[in-house]
Amino acid sequence: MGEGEMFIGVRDRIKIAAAISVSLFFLVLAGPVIAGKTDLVPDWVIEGVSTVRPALTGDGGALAMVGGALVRISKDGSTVWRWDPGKEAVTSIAGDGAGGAWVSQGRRISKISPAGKLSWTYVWEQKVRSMEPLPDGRIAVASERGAVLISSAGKFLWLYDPATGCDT
Amino acid sequence: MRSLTYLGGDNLLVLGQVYGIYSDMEPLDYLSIASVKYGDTNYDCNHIWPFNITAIAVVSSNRIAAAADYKRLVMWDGMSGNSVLWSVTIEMPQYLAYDAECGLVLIEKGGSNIVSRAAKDGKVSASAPAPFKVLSQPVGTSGNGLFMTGDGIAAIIDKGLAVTAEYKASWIGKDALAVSGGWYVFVSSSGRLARFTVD
Repeated sequence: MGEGEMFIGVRDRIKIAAAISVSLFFLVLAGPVIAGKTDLVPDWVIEGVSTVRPALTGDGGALAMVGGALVRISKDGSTVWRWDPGKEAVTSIAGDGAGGAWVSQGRRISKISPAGKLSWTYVWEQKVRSMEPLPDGRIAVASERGAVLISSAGKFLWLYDPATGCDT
Repeated sequence: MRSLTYLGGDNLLVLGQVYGIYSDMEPLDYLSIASVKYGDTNYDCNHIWPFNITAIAVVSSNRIAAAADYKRLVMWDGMSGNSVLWSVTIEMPQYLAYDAECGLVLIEKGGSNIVSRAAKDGKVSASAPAPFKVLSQPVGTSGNGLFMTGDGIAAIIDKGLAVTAEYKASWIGKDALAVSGGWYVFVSSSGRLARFTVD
């Protein structure tokens, strides 16, 4: 072998191969970060959930229909309470921001306390389409042809009737 | 009545339907603001609103974006009756969503293209092919990006419409529903519910 020529022995080749492997390994790990993309990892996943839109509890948890019951789920995924709505299908859920909930079933709205107990039930003339909680504990309810506001005690407050409310 | 959205103060956004304008059988959509105190409209329902409204996005209590047949994409100030802040004539989007980071984001029909527009004037901020076919209503995450779902994927995009984080799982399907609590999002699909922290 002449001057200036380089000989790469078996041990050196192994070292180089190992260095390249380690570099590639870290490149694969760091690639998404370099590209600005990271993995989005769920905090938890639970099964047996119905298609009814889940609602927020206000403390990082959720309210959802699980196994036929309304379940308050804490932010760490554990069950805080369960409430059995009976046989009639639940059509919408809303959270009161304090751990309680409203549930609609056809024309009926039920208020569930933060402890998971039934507080009151209110039956409107029309089927409930959606519910919008207000910060003070009242609930606005959209039905087929109007909206009603219900107090935190389950009493009727007003009816918004588009036939008159939008009459210009 | 399709939906109610509390805007704060005395204001309740009503996405409603009226009958009898063209037909007693086919309702037309309208937007209005109802008074929480009195249960009536603070501002007369605008004649130009009763059309097919396919999507709305609340930017703030006085900026409500709506995709409607008559002018396609409009920004309504919500507090001044007929006041349309701006409008652009575009193809009706499939979804409309707002996030403080991304601005007003439109998912075009088919879910394959994304356009973000400035809420103040409607000008295009960014436009890109969707990283995947968006199959359900995206949700804002209080300035952490827009959370979207597709077939087998959930992802967050930034103001440049690039994916910043993603999660792949076969249980996320076209029935996916995303509910945002700001810095966390719940996703429901295929009988499962997952919680994602997004900050």
